[in-house]
Amino acid sequence: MTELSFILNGGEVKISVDDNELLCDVIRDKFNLKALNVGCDTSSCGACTVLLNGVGVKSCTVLAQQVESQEVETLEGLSKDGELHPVQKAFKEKHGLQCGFCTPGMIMQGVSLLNGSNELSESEIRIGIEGNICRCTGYQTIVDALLLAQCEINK
Amino acid sequence: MLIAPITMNAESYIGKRIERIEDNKFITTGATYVADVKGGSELFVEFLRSPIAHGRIMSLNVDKAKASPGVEAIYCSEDITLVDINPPIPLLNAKMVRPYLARDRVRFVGEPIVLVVANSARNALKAIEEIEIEFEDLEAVVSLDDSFKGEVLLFDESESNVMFRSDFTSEDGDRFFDGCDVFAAETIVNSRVAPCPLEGRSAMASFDGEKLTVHLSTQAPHSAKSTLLKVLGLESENVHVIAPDVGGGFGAKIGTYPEEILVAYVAIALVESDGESPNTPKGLKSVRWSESRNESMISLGHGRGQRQRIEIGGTKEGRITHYRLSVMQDGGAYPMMGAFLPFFTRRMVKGCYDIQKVDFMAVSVATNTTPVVAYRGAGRPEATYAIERAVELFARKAGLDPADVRRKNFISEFPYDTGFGSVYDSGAYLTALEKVLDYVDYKSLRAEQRKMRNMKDSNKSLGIGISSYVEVTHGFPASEFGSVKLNSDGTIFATSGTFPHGQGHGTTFAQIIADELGLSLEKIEVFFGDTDIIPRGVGTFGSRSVQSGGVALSRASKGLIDKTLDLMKSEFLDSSVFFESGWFFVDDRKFSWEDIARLAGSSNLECQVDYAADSPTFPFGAHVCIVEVDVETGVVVIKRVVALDDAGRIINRLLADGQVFGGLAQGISQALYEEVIYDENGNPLTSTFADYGIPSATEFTKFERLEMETLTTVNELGAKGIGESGTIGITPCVVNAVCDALSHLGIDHIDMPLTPFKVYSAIRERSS
Repeated sequence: MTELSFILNGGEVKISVDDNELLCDVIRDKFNLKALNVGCDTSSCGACTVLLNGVGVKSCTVLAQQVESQEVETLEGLSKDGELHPVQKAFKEKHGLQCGFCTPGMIMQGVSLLNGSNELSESEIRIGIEGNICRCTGYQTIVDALLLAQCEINK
Repeated sequence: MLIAPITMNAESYIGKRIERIEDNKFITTGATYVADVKGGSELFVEFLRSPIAHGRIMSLNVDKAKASPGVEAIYCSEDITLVDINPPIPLLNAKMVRPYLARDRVRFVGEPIVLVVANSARNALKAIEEIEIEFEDLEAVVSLDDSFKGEVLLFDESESNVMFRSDFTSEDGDRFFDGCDVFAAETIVNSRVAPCPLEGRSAMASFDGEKLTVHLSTQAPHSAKSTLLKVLGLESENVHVIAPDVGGGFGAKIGTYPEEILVAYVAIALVESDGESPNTPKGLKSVRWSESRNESMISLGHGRGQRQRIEIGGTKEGRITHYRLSVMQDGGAYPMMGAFLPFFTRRMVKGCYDIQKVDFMAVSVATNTTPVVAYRGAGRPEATYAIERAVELFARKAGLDPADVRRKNFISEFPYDTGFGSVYDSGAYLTALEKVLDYVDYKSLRAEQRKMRNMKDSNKSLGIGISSYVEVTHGFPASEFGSVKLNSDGTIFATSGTFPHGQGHGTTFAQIIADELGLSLEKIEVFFGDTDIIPRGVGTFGSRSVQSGGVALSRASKGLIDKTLDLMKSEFLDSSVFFESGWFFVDDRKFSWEDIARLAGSSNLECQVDYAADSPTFPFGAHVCIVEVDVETGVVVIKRVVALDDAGRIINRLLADGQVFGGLAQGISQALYEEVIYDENGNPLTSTFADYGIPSATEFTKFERLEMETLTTVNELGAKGIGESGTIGITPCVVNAVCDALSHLGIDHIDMPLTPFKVYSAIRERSS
């Protein structure tokens, strides 16, 4: 067991974890934050994507103890003071989700992308979400949502 | 009951693009899937699955596993007291019976053999490693031909491997095509694919000594309840099925799987044997199972899996007069819906064309592979693929433009009885095709193609693919339940027996109710997926929901108005009472729904409707796909996808777009990327997302969608279904485009998926 302390959705948290425990399991089972989903066992689907210091990572590929003293943000921490993030708003407006299973990871990956640049083309967005699988939308409305969110952020 | 078509005006919610009401939780805290539902003291189920495709279990010892840390119970086949599973449809081979856990014999890699219950999933998996098992290998039956030959039988009880037969052939046999100027034929494969809902199967069950509660990731919670009642022998009031949010289904979650039933069975068995457990306290236990992706890839049902012989003949002017489709369906190891898919293929065998002589025959056979089930379109994409490839080959043989051949052969009068179990309700196939061809400027595209072919040193070849399709939705019209109830604050609580798992019925149905009652959308809540709250229901599949559940709610809304009018008439005797645009008028006074709620007090203003449509509906459309094929590498790049899908009245344009786009992606993906592959010993080679061709955003281009609404008269909404149309039309369209790009090289057909390797190999074979 390792004593772990990190910032989760803006607040400092402390917890003891097994050495082989994955970040996705710790977030889901120990902090009861159930937004992120585990959709595969090969780090292919990206449904578990969270932000680590503002950058999207697949939390099934991160050992919990690796986030010591780092900042982790999940979908639950994204809206501030009840105000939705532009990416969240855009997903609703553009119908960027259907069954919703990929959505928490997809939104966080979208936020990560837009954190990195505010002048992404459609094809750069497609490449940027390549690690996140969606089976419902054909990606079109997700790409539209991220383009819209980029517009909103740049306003 | 005949009801006048709905009337609409500028204020109507129906027909608009409206954001989903249900999205707020999805984008803030995430949805609640079965794995997110909190249970009582939790136990976890995992399965030992067969590592071989076909064999006998020679010895099985679970003693060590029983002593493994955290293990609560272990079940082998002989510990399960349930009656074995019969095929889901009476027309399937009744001798092919499936035990819940493999008994003596295993028939596919992934078949469950032992069920382990432990205090954590991890401990259950560790215990599985302690199970000692020995097999005697039997020859695996993987190919359709081997199965049909029947030298190795999957079931000792059955004298053949045939699961299902359908024969609609004339006596003409060899002379069937006599007199045709033009004849084309090809054997083509509609590849086996994995449905891949992003949430795999998941079940959680608890039993309090009397009542069984099951949370299930399903498309049809009421059907699941019926299955559980029948299998477990419980009374209706003692089974409660709850489908929380469900992360996709695509047909694979219509039926209830052995693993899911076993979770419920174990929940009951553990309570009945309570008191002996060392690991968990007495009291309510929740037994849960959520499959891994690997489990899902090998034991959730697969889709498609047909080999087809297409033969087509007609005049040199391009009139198609003869068509014969012979299907061999891979049913997998046990008969499920997959074995029955040819039935749906047969119904749509003619496609959009008025062909005089058509023969159809099909055989479904068992193989040592994962059972095949329904997958988005279920039998109809296979029919469309066959006829649209056949028309293409016919046009090529006749030296005619494929668009012209379609124009000459479309069915144009409705209703149209195909003679194969379908009566097309309404359609405008020619208009649909002309619209897409105009939109892409087909003539100029052909000119550009010629120009490119004449350019020397160009390794790029342009391909233009067309498909016209008609499909059947709500194929077996079954009664669907809907209720609309006035709350005490004047808002509406409605329930439906359909079950959305991504489609957004919560918004679509609220639009229908809001228009009928003259209320604003936010006053309406539509609730799904709980068999204790919703008395009856069927579920969501086969693009049935709007035309069954939506119509039921439309009628229940009308019924609520009538009930309210009756109440008003009894309150205000001798007054004129009528309802208009959300208001009840009584002489010179008017009452809102809020007023009514106050007036009604405790009297229950609710209307329940069970609505069964008289017949299915037949959406149709035309797709165009433009590809560029690199003839040196075999790489196919999709340049444009244009889809016109006409499903009658569209309730919510935003959500209809979503259904079409998602369907297009799955259909394109089958054409280019996806295929479930087995080696000759029945080992699955595509059992994770790392080996299976699951597409990402970079595999697709922006889809262009054209709208058209040819209403049906089957229901007063005028609505058909749109959940599967994209998948049905686009797959042959893409293959037609790629084959069109290679036509000058003498390549008529390449089987899906059209990977660079396959395309390159076909080109090389031709040029050497």
